Amino acid sequence: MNNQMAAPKDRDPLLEVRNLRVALESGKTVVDGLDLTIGRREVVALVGESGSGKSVTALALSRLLPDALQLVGGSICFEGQDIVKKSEAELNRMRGADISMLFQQPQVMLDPTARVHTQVAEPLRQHRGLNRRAAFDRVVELLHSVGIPAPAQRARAFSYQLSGGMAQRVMIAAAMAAGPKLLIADEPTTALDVTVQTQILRLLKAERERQDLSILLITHDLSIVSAFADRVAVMYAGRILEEGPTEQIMNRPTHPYTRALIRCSLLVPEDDGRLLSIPGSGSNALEIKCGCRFAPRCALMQTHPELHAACHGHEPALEAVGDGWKSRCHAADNLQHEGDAA
Amino acid sequence: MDIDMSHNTPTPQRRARLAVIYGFVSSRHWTFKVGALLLAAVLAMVFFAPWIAPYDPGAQNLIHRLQPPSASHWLGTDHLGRDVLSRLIVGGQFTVTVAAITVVFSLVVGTLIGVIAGRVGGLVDEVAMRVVDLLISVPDVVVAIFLIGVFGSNYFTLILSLTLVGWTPFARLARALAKEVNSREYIRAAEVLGMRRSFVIFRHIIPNTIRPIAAVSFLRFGHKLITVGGLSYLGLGVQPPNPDWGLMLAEAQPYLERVPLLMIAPGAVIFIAALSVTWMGHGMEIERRRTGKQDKS
Repeated sequence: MNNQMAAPKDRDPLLEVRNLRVALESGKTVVDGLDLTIGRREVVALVGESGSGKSVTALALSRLLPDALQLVGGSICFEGQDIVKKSEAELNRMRGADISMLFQQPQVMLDPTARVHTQVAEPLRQHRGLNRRAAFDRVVELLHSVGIPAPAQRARAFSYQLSGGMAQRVMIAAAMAAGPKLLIADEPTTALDVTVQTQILRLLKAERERQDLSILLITHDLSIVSAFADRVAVMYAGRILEEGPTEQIMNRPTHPYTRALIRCSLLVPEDDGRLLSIPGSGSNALEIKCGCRFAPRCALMQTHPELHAACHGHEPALEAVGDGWKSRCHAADNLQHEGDAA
Repeated sequence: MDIDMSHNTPTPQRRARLAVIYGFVSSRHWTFKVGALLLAAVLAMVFFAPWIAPYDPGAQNLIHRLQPPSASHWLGTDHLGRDVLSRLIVGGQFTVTVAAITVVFSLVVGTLIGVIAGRVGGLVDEVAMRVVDLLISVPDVVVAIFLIGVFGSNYFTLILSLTLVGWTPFARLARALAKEVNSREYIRAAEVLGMRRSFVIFRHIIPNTIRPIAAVSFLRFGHKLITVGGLSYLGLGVQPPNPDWGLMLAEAQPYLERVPLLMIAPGAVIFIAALSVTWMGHGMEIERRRTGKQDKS
């Protein structure tokens, strides 16, 4: 009986986003009915071009959207509680303690007038109620655990005395200080050296093992995704186009957009010797009111004129194409079989 | 990158601190250095006045009135035969003290209100800034004359009346700076970690706005020196027979043609005191602009 009660709870997702909608004040929708599920100890990658709404989604999850953007609908269920309904005070208790964030440019995320230890100690003192001395000792431990040499000395340094990789390690220490369950990492390695990128990703992986952490990794770098994420969600024009286990999606993408993204990132020349690029840009796709939003740029549709009517006629739904694998394409089944054959 | 870890032994650390102060001063523009020297001289004069004044500033000697400078009276004597140099040395106390306290109060009140308005925004910002607009249109001398008329002239009334209007430029500046700092990424980082509003304001916003505010506070200090001098000149500050720079100007007026030094001396001292802080503030602003340019390039 007890086992039966415990088992489903354990399988409960940590975070469940349903029909999330974010709009500009002018009414323009930026995130349009996004569904996303993150399990416990799971690394989910959210990929897509610039302007697809990845970062906005991340900010919406911690309810820190800038004034110009508003959360207009949907629910964000975190451990059974709806974040959308929480008050500002409740949100402040949650931020840093349950959900932490990591950003792209670590050096500008650190206050130039404060020493490293005061900033890493912030969440400890606020969420864990440690006093100054205890917090400092804990900060030194944390800095040590994120691989900073001579942590007691570095703790007294200022942010401008740190390299980019060091600063990102410090930010990880600050984000992990209060022991959150979900880390939202918004392009955490984009601004860093390639060699440092790997170190930071390894560190994030180690943190996940150590403290039962789930990670939402926002990136446009597919090589990071395949090495690091359990599941991938491909975002385009405020919607999820394909979502599923990393390995399957990377090997046999069922959406033309995912396909194009992967081929672009391989940097393999086409037959004519040029690198592939997806024609057009995704920035206007939000204005497409009927039909598939990717249709104007879709390579598949250009080679298969018979799809025109369906793709321009109505938008495909996000439908299951496999176990835990969903795709938003009229031709998803065909593509999957094509992939099987190849 | 070197971090001094020998905090158990105080001497190297104190030396390091002195080195920091020396580094701070020596890296400034020359106006800051000259201003700092002048201000140090003025403050030392005011602070040690009772010991360095050669005569009692109130002692009258009607036989030796309105004398030109001599070996015994370096700056001569005034219309009651009092030693001008001694009166100058002692006469700075009131003006400098009132100006300094006023600037500190204005700085604290103005910065707090400005930073909170800039950070919180919305209605709070709107109300605070309209109050600033209202007060900025009232000259501080008028407020001072009114309050002195009601409560009489003393330290408290003067400081109150000058602070009442004096905080507004600080509030305006602090608000503008807070708005700018508020858009910086590290504020976002603090919010993401769920930091309290007060923590963000005191730990992140104020430390990042205080340097330009400090530069302006020097300029305001010079401004206040002149205002207090002006009030004393109008007879609203120190009452005779106590010495004061502004009062000395007023008393010297009838003798302007016979002994112009009586008016030139206190005027020059007010000028030098105001100039010293203005130059310090100016030097800091120049430094700020220069580093600002470096940041961008």
